[in-house]
Amino acid sequence: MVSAKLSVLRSDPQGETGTRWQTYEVEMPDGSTVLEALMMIQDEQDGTLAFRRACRHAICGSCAMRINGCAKLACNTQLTLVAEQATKMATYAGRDSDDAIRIEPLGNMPVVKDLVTDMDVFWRKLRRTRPWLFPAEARPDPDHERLMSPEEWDRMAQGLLCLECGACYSDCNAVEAAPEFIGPTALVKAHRYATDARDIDEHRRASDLSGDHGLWECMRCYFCSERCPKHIRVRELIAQLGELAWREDLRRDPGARHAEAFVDSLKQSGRLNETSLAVRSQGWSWALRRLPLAVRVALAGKLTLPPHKVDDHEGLLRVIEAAEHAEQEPGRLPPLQPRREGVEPS
Amino acid sequence: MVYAYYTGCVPKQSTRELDVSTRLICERLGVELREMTGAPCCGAGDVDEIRPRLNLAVNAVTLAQAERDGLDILTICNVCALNLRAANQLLNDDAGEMALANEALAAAGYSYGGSATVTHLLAVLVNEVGREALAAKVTRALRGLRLAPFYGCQLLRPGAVTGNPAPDDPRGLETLIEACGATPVDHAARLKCCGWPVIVAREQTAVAASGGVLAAAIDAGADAIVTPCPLCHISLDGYQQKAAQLSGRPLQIPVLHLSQLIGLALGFSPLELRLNRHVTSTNGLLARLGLALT
Repeated sequence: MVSAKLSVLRSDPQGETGTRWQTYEVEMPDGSTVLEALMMIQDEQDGTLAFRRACRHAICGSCAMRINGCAKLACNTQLTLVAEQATKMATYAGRDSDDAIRIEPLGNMPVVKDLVTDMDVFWRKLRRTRPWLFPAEARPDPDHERLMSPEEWDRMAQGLLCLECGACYSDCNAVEAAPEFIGPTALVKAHRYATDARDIDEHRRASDLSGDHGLWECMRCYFCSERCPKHIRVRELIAQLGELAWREDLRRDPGARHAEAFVDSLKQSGRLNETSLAVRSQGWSWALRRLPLAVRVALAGKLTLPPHKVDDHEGLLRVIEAAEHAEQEPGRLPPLQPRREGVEPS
Repeated sequence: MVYAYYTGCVPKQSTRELDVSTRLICERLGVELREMTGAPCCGAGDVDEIRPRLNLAVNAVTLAQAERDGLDILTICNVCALNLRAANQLLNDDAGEMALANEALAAAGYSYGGSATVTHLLAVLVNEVGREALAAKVTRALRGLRLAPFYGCQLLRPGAVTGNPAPDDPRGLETLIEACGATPVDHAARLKCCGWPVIVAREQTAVAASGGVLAAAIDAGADAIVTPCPLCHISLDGYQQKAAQLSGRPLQIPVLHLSQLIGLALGFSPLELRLNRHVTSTNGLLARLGLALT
């Protein structure tokens, strides 16, 4: 048997109790999950505890919640592992007596009650990506399936694994900083359709994602990739959407120009030219409006001359040229494959 | 301990204090650094985002140089560490990509077999130098200082690339802060994002993120923040005033590079460690140690 303490962040925004931590103690059979512990609590100790769940085997995506501060599916999280983690974290923080597993609702969403969040904005962002096919034929031939090669399947396979559980969205630091940011789940969904060989709408999809709160707002905190219960390399898929936008000639966003500035720097010296980066990305008038910041930075001695060239810059240019030549060869260079690790069921 | 020293671009420019202080502490701790003067920019994830194949070829140049010299790469920037590691992993996992990269490398007489390894100053200090050896060389214990560790994303995540076995429970910075005689302060933002990757393209988003980090460290009662990444340093130190404006509350706290923390404990003077090259003054912090920028 496993003994564990669970400290649940309870709230009832419509009620009078406010938000509070409530601790439950459970005795569960070996191998029990956090979800099984919560179900036991609901059945035997406290029928008022609210949480979502359905399939109990990591396919419906309903039971995502923060466990010890990390968004996870309660149904595929072993109680013993997070109990050990909680003890370790309590020791680090110098509060040995308080070593309960901390259970909280997903972040970046309002709470309806206890562990149940209001996912309305999350779903609206997903829907904005138009998650359905735009095939070449207006009326597909009903007598024939549309075939796809294994390579074409691989391109979109990672995105198909998404459960829409919200774990990545919950812990996304860019959504936290800019609530309008479309967020990682919608971008995974967009990737899945933009890379579908049967879909012909990839330019419009990339264009839709190139706006203010689109793909270029990703801060690359990598919480998405770390949290995904299906091990989708979420950030890599977002980067591939950036590449798609760039290939589709959607290069006006400061994020795209920022990326181009790095390529320019490589060609000029092999090193990033920090001073020209901002101007290249945002233009002179933007840079001039930031004169006070520039003065503070200059006073600290941080404004510097352009960097020296790396040794054998000529050689680097030859490598870049060879790589560019290879990039242009048709048929040889499909977009990089997402790493296959996530394709295996976990 | 000999490493191929990959400074990255920013420590040669706006955060030169990081390069200077890293050299000082490494010499004192017996870590020999051979600078990779021919290694190009890692692309910061930006080149990868628009030109993934070009990114692989460019990072393959760095990896090939280290392999040729038979040395492990030591980085002092989280973003360099992640980009070199990600390129290395992809090249090793995908024979087709490795062949393409080698075709490009051949244009300059390089070749890459896949054997380079990439580490970071923080990992070298914790795992190679070690807490005891470091503590034994401390001549100025930083007693009484309460320091907020700030890891920066790309040293931790994604664990599948960084190789960090516990990306949600790292202890390296805390270990080093303790070895220096100071007290690590637990705070809500220690594993979060500083916003740097979008600080030019989406300034307000980035500064909202960095302001959150500053507020968390201040609210936890820290005297300063310590970070192993120069880009986090730019976000947290350079944009502090903007973060205060955006959040509508005062946010003032010095931000130390990891190498400056170690350097102070090893007895180097604040000027040797270039603690004058910060946007947010370090005077108050130094005064608590009985030091000044003179």
